Amino acid sequence: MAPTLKKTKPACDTKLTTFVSPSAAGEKLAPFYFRRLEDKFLITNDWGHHAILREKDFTDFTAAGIGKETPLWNDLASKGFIRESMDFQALSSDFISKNAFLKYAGPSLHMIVLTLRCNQKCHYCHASVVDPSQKSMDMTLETAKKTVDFIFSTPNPVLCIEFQGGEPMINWPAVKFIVEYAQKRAAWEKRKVILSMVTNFTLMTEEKLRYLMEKRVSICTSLDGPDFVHNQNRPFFGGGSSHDRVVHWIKRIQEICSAAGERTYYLPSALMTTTRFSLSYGKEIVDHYVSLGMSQVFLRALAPIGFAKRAWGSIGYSAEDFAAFYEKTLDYILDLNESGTPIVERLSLVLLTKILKRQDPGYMDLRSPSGAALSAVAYNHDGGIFAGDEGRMVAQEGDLLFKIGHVAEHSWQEAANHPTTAACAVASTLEGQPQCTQCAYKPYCGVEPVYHYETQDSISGNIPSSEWCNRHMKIFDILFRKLQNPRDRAIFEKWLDQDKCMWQESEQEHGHEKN
Amino acid sequence: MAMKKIKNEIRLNIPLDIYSEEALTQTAAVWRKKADVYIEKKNKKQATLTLEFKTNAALNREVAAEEFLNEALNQEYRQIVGRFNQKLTQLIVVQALCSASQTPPKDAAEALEPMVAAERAKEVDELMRRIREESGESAPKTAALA
Repeated sequence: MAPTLKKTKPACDTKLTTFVSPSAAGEKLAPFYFRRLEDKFLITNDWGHHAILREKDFTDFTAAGIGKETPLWNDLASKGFIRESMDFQALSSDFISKNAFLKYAGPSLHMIVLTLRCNQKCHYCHASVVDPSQKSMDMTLETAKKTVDFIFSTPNPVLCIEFQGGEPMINWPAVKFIVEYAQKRAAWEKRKVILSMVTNFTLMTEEKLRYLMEKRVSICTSLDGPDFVHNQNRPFFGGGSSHDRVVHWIKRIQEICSAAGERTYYLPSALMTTTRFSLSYGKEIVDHYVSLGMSQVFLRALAPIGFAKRAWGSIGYSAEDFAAFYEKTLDYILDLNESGTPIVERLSLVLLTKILKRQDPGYMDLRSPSGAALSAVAYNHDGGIFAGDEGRMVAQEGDLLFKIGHVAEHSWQEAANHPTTAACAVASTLEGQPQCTQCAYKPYCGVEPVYHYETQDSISGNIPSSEWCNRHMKIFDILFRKLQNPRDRAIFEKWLDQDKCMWQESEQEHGHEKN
Repeated sequence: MAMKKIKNEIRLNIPLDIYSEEALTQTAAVWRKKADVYIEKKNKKQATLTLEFKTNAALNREVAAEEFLNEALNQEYRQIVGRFNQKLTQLIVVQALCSASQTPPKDAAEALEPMVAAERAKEVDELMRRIREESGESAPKTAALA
């Protein structure tokens, strides 16, 4: 007897309305996606355009009944929704702009894990760090040289090298070697190298700070919020508070930048990671960033990879809980902006760059295909090459699926042609994903192969029941709802005018070449 | 006395006009950590699936069967979508892979006069030596990498 099919309720509540589109009407409409947003309908297309229609207008649209040359018809026609009036040249240009990364010559982001040692034991650490006594987990200078040689063998004219760990400053000799060797290579070969350090600041000294700033290494740290939030999430190895040191060095860098004058040095940046404990303190986190003079706060969700996967029972949360936190905190940020405090929420900025500007903001987790290997490569302390940093973290758990080579044994072509590289590209192309291929948010979204491998045992994932999908759909719902509010829209547009996504700045300002 | 191991096992009759063999194979791969999946094709229209779970913990058989079939439905749907959008997906993936695996800029070192290349190599060795000295490290007796 055939088993009874009982479909699990999808995590993503699409609230689709069925409609009957007469074939004659269908012939007048260009392909589009749609989604109900409360009492309205969102329509989108692969060119990256969108429109929000009242129910009656949506019904008229699907019946090809909108009066020609009316303002609504003209608007929809200009956005490529009306088949008879598609400006293919303009729409192609929109598509190319939105998907410019498809033509990027190789990875631009190279994350070098200088050591697995760390002096902190953050509850959600993705890097599966080890204690500071294990010196064998440091990258040797020979491996560092081979890694830089490999990076310079990749084709992108702009190379962003990011120091990660563990805590990269534990391996200070490797930091210095890579900084100076990479800058020599860049000068010899007339290429651009951008250097950045991701550090917990706990090992920073005046001397090291001066070195990094003089060498134009931008510095990013983790700041989860005020001391009681930050220290809860990010204790020292063996216990103890780390918050005050982070704040000290943020202020110190700001002091030096202020004394030196504009754009002499990079201002410090900070990222927060949201744990279950953080969910109740959105306002406090934002207030803390504002009090430190930070221009952006990135409301980042936790991913169940590495330590976070093991600790998910105590630090994790549902997509619904994160969306509630995100909306409430974003509302507070918008209120602050209205009252004259210009703090930007970075995830919104990334998504709105796609939605309103139809440009690629360089956010590799939400690309189709994803940036794993194609745009971002991670190098482990032992020279192993991985399709992105999350792929390297999976290797720390003993699974080498995402390893695509070794700096001493393989060429870039071998890594780029590795089956894992191709598999990740295919798995993360939304045209091949059930549900994604019909989703209104498809033009702006992406799926992450490593996340789905870790949570659903498959690099393609099971999107209808994916928390990744659930969370992102809720965030998109929130943003499109807010775009209908004139105050919120005006603030978003100001953010887009005044600020650039960091990656855009890296790639465009420094002459990222597209072919 | 040897204990007979009790296997947690489910058997499903699968209509092959709904689930293709390829989808079932993919589902078995996704379920590799949970169960060993054996597919026995009875005829063109029917197959029997045996799921041997890797845990002896108490199993809600109905829920497990439904979860397996949901994943099989997902894989079947993915096959259908994949075939429907094959050309477009290929265009996108091939463009991305070809762009990424381009020939890098001509290796400046290769084109250099041997003397310039030797000078640069010397500069790098000196850099490494200086950093080792500053950090109090001694040079390794053998190279860490080939």
